[in-house]
Amino acid sequence: MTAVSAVDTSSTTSYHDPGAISEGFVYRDQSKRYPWWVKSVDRITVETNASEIQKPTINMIMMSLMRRGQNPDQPRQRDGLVNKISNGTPGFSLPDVSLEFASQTFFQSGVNVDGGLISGFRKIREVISDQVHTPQELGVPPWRGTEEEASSMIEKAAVHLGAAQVGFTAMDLTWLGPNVRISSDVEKPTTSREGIFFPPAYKYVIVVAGRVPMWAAKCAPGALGSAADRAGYEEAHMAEEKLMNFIRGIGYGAFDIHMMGINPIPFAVMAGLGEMGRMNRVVSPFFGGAVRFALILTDLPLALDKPIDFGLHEFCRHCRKCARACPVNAISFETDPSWEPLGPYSFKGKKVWFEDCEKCAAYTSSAGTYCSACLAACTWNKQNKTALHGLMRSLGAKLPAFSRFYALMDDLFGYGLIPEEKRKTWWEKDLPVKGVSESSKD
Amino acid sequence: MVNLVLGLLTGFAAAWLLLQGSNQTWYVWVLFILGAASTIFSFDVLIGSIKEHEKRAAVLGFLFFVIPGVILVGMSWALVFSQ
Ligand code: SF4
Ligand code: SF4
Repeated sequence: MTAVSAVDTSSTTSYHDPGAISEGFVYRDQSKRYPWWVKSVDRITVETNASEIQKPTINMIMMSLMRRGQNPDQPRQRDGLVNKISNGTPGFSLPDVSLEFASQTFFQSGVNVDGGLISGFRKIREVISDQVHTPQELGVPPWRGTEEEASSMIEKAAVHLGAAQVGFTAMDLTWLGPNVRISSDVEKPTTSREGIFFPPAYKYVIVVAGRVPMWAAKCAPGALGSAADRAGYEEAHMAEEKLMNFIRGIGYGAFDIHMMGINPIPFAVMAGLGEMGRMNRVVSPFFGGAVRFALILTDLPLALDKPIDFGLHEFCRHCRKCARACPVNAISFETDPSWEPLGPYSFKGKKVWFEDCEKCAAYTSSAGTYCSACLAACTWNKQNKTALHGLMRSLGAKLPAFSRFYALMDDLFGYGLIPEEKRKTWWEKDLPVKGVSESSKD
Repeated sequence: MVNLVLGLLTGFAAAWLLLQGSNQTWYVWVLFILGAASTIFSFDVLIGSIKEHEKRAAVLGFLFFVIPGVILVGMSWALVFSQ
């Protein structure tokens, strides 16, 4: 690790309205990014209070990893898993469990989840990043162009390399832990005992979205649902690894900061890939909750994206479908969001529907799989084989106050989670490649 | 194929109305167009939802749109006959 002697602590505090777009950057034209019912805005739809903002000392992802249930390398957890398979627990057949492991073949091989903290990377990542020939190696100058050209090029490359969508935003320490700093003493993003350090030139964040296979996701909570969740991360991270190689190949630096423990949610919201929903996670206007994110930090100057507003904040006030889907009531049923954090793992300064992360992580630990039932149940999760969904999305965005009715209709029409006894039918269905059908984006 | 059959049927029905002469009142046309649109949409919902493996949505969505569609088209025809 690089030793960090001096730290630019001025960058650790919030220097602008938290949730507003950063000044001093170029923003790209947002008019063609989304259909007419999605507005581009200059600040996120979540209310924030700059004087109250509390820096997270741990994020929910870290916590769920710490309490991760399905880890056969640990004897107690292996026994739990073996019991479930042997007892014929619905959703835990041997093929279900094996599919879950297989769905994260590369994602889990690329990172080493050890004792709960993401502590390092395995050899596979070194091998992956060898597969690139930099301009320096080829003896040619690096690529040069405007910020807009760079963003357009990266977007095209990302989609070619498997991303469902990308968004660009600025590195903003507001939402990150007190141990994350900007430091001119490091040449590349660096993790050390003192914390995580980013060099000042690395100020651009690329948020890479990966699709979640909807039908397996609907089998949450359980091994099949978890297989979908893992597959979503694998999609995002596979695309991200390749995109980082592309960026290196044109002569710039690119680093995966999600796997350094940086929570992608605030960056995905700032980059306009979705809004914060009642479930305290990102809801995309295209993919609902069936999307997962990876984060790249780069020094390639990019034209940034703006946050979006598709009426979700009002929609979530009355919908509550995710809260009903949660097996442990970890999601708020209150009509309005709150400034008051819930439990030791949520933090002040934003008005959201705080989720009881402790309940969620404890459930994940005891269930033996990642849950994601809230994400899979969201009313905005739809495939796009009928024009009805496009109609409902635009109605939902423009008349969000009727969301209780939409959620009722959603239940009546049978959308949402698949009951346990019917989950075996997943193995009988003729599903699309990677389980991903069209979305409103296609 | 189903879309083609539907298109032909709708086209035929529209042609038939036209053949009834130009003296139809405007609301006959409004009723007919709304009914035909709802009927066609019901088939889109049915076929799309089957492709999505959403059987319940397929059946309910179809009924939700086809019933008012057929009623509206029926009303427009009833008005034509009553003249
Ligand atoms: S539904 Fe599952 S993942 Fe979502 S909050 Fe509840 S326990 Fe956590
Ligand atoms: S299920 Fe409903 S309340 Fe929950 S996040 Fe999705 S839209 Fe919001």
